[in-house]
Amino acid sequence: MASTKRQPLNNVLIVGGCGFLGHHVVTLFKEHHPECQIFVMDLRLTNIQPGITYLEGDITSRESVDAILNKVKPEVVIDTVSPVHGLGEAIYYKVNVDGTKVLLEASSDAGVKAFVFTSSASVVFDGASDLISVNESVPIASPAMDPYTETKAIGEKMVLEANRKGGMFTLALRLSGLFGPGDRQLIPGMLGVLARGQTKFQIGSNENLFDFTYIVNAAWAHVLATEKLIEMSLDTPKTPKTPDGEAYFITNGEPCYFWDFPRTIWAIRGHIAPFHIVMPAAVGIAMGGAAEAFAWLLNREPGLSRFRVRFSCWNRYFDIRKAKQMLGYQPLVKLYDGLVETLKWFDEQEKMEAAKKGQ
Amino acid sequence: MKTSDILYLLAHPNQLRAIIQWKIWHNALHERKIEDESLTLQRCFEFLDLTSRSFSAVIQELCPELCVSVALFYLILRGLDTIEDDMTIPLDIKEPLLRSFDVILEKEGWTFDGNGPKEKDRQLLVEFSTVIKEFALLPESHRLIIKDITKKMGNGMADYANNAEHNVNGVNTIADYDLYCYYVAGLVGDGLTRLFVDTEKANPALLERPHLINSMGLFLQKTNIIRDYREDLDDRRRFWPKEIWTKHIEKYEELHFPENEEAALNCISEMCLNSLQHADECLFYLAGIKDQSVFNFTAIPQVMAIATLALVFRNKDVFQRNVKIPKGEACELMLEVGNLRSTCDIFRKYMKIIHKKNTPKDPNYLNISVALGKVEQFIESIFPTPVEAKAVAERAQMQATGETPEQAAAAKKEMMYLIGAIVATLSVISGIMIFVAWLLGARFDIAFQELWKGNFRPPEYNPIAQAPHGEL
Repeated sequence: MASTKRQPLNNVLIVGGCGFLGHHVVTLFKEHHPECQIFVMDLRLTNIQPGITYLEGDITSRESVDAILNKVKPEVVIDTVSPVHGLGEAIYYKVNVDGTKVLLEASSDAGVKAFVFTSSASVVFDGASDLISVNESVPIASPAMDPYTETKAIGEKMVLEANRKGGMFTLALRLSGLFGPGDRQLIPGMLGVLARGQTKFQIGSNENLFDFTYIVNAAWAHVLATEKLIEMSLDTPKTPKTPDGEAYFITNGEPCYFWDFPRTIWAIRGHIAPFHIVMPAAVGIAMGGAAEAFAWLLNREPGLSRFRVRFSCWNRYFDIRKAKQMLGYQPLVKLYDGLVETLKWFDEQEKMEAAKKGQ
Repeated sequence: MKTSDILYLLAHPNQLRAIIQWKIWHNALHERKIEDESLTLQRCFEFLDLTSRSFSAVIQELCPELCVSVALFYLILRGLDTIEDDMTIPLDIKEPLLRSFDVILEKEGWTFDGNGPKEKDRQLLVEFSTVIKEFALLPESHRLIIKDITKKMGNGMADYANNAEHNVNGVNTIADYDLYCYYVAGLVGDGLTRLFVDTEKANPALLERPHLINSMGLFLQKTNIIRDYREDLDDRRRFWPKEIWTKHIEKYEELHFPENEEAALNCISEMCLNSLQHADECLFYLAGIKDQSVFNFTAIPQVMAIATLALVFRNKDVFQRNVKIPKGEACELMLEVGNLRSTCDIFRKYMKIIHKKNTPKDPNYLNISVALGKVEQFIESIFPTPVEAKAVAERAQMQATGETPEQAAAAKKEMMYLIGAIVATLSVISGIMIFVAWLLGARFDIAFQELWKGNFRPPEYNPIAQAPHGEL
């Protein structure tokens, strides 16, 4: 893959390039497109990598965005912005809807050629139905599961509708179940279960399949999508066979039974539960409710919640043939290898923290 | 039938029922018209019965356009196999025979009596002129296909017979393993598929997807190779590729030592994983079959293979003896196969068994989970699960009651309060009860001590023992 001749790129602006996904996108562009100039725009500058120009900016402000676009004059804009969970509806709306609109319009006005938007596979998830080998023909969930996905879906729609306006090609990548170095949600949650000694419990039958995606593969899809859009010409009319103006599900393409994933994490950490206590989903949900109530009474973060319980019992996997056919997407890293890499990173982080405390 | 078999069937009445049903009620789709057959053809079918009883039954039920062609194809390959297998034939005689077997098929009256006396199918070659005679009567297109495959397979076998490295050390890499299985099984599938397409019993598109055809053969062959570990080892043959077993053990012949059990189980599970990777393509292939008798003919070996795979997966007995699916289970499978849907259901049933036996102790734990997921996703692509009616109804109700997300959030908060209130009330009441008990003199300290010691029941009340003797 990496050895094939790549479409040369000029200036690339990665918005949100300091975040969990964004900084992996930066790394891959640097590796596969040494010819291009990479710029990062973010609200707070962290995860700094050498050879990249970092600019502080706010996508909700047109002036801030214009100033950066003027300076960078990018050919490609990649919007990986994603506010962390738990910030409230107003922030989501401001960032995912208003911010996307500002960035989209400013990019089009600035003569950007390719605009890649990071969306979420949850835009088709209503919070109740299973997602069984779902492809892009499934409509956006209505009503949405939560304000985050609701605003993400609005942003995605705007991006796809803006395709070819002002000569700018757009597309959206719907990611699902991200994990990897820098992860603050999935892997820490599963390591938390190990730390609390709760690995014996299994909620649900464990016959449900789940798509987890290694962050490098998700970032790789951004590189491929960019290359496809840059190759496009306005002379080719938009048809279902052209890659622009489309949304794509991106996963590792390796759905596995839900509990097999955390158990692999624990096994890599040297722990194998001697037996498993299987609880039906209903019991789990009741326990989750009780835990939430307790946590709420004690004003603490619950270790178990009804959402988490349902999360572990859902079928949630996707058919990614569209991305494979249209974008030439193939995951770079296998699921298991991705997990090993991720845990190595967590080991190093823990060592570093221990060293800091020791000082 | 052995007593242990009878006891087994008594304990598994479903399987007993399946055997009886298969033997008594099973109606063949097509039956041979023996009265119209020449004596030589009848002799050929006798040979078929002698060489493989199970195969013979399914071949004889094939539609008339294919029955004789497939039967003769099978006997020809069996003849080739009988020459290849026989270690008493010197290489300088064996090699030219293998390489020219396709030409021999057209030599009227050709027979061979050079096999050792112990060779099981010796008689087939002694009377091979009967097969040649009937072969000449096949349609030309069928003869060409059979000859082509015979030529390729004969040459492949001759190459392996010449390959000293292979004969001493067995199969090296996974690529070698795939190639070996292609020669002994994939090629047969190729020939059969061409026969099916020629008689319009299968979708011609199958011929454009040779990897699907190959997977059909490889899934069967690889599963048998796993199952036959011990039998092959006792015959000094090794088919498990070195690339796999060296990850788990230093010496192939030590896999069956009891102290190596853990390594052996991990090794067998990696072998099963390798085999499982063909399962989805087998189902894909079966979707291209248009005739019921051909479907049964092709699907029955596949369901036997997935059942065998589930049986041998992490099964330590494989290293000690030859394990086999019980006859009753085999009959059940033959009764259940009927269409692609039921075949997929059978695959799912056995995949569930593999999933249950899979353990995080195994280095390939996640890879096996992913391989199973891949087959599940493939089945889902041909038979999608209908969208859960419950969720749809829930959503409809939500729209009907007009509950907005804000209201839902408020309701959620209310729910929290409610659960909180219940927990609080229960705690208060329990607290009061414990307090009252304590006021009335309950000795919680003693109770706890006793519980700590593991005395969960009150001591048995024995007034005599308790009364001080001195006062009596």
